[in-house]
Amino acid sequence: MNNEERLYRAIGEADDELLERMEQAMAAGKASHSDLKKRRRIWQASVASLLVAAAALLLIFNDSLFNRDGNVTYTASGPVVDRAIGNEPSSSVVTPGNGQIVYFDSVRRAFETNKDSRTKYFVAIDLFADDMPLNVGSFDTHRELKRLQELGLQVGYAESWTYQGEGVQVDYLYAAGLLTAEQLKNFPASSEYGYAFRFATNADGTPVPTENFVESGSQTKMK
Amino acid sequence: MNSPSSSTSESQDEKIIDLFWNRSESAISEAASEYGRYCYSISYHILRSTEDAEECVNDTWLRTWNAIPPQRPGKLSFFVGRIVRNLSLDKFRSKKAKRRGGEMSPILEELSEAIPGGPDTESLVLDRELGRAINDFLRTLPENACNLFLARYWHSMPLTEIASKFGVKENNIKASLFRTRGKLKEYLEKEGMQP
Repeated sequence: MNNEERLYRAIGEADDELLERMEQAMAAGKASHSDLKKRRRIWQASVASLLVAAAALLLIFNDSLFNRDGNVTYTASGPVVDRAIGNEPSSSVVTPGNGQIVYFDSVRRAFETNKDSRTKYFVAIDLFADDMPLNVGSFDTHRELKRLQELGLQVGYAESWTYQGEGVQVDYLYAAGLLTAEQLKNFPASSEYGYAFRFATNADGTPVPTENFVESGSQTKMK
Repeated sequence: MNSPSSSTSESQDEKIIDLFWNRSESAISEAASEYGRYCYSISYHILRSTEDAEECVNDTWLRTWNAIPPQRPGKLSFFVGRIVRNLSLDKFRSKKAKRRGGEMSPILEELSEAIPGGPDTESLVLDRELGRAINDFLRTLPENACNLFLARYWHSMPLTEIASKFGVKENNIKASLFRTRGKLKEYLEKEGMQP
């Protein structure tokens, strides 16, 4: 028996648990494929509508939301940018392929124009695998955030809220990071995932406060 | 080609295993009825011959009869799947089935990329140790990549079928498998599994 055949035979000894998981994924494949397509469309639609809401709010409350000299909210540890200024062109909503990074224009503009290297940007990190969005509660998301944490990045989960049913506010978690411009520019992307960085907002268009960010140990908070 | 596991309850598996265990002759017909198509599908992907695949499936029941007892499998589908897979590989080797096409030749060619030191290397490592290393490696992979790897190299599925089953583009599957083979090679090297 040659080595390829030996390797093929050894793969046959894969654990039942892994095979079971694969067969479940296969059984759910077509359904989940259409689900994922739907999720992707929903993701794009949600992002687009949030941006429109944010832009509208900015137009209305421009003076009260931001300092006149910049879009910086100061915290005890240093300046933090947590929101977009101006409108977000819809063309920026593209799905990153594996190993690729997409910055929404607002994020790119923020870290390219702000010269204060201490500034951190409170961003939502949308993760993708094979062009499909990863569920925030998935093992893959958790593992990737853990990898990034081990590289010294302040990433984890943040809590936002949306409306459900008849105007009921419902909290949900999303992957987020508190990153410097340098960290955003030189983000250590894995070849397994795509990344989209945007400023998150609640359903009413208000920015998510940095207090809602949990860097680690957030699994206990997962819903 | 899902195993019937989703529709077959664990108690049905238990019932069939009990039949084997009690040396009841109906064990074979029950197993064949439950897992015959599943095993045939695995074998046919490898051999691309109805006659050879049927022969391997029939031999599978005999091997299962001889193995249970003393063994008591957890999931019967994977247990018989492993047997038919190995029998089909043996037949492939003995009959040079690659002349007929099928998935085995491209699969073995692809796997040669994952072998430290190249395909001509003498005996890789002890098979049991290799099996353990493969399992450890699979657990390092993202779930999607692991599923695609097993569909291709455990089930021996053609890429088109994997694409259809998982709802993923064939090119993405190829890219994922390519990356995983590279990682497997690195992993085996790191584990000292090179001559």
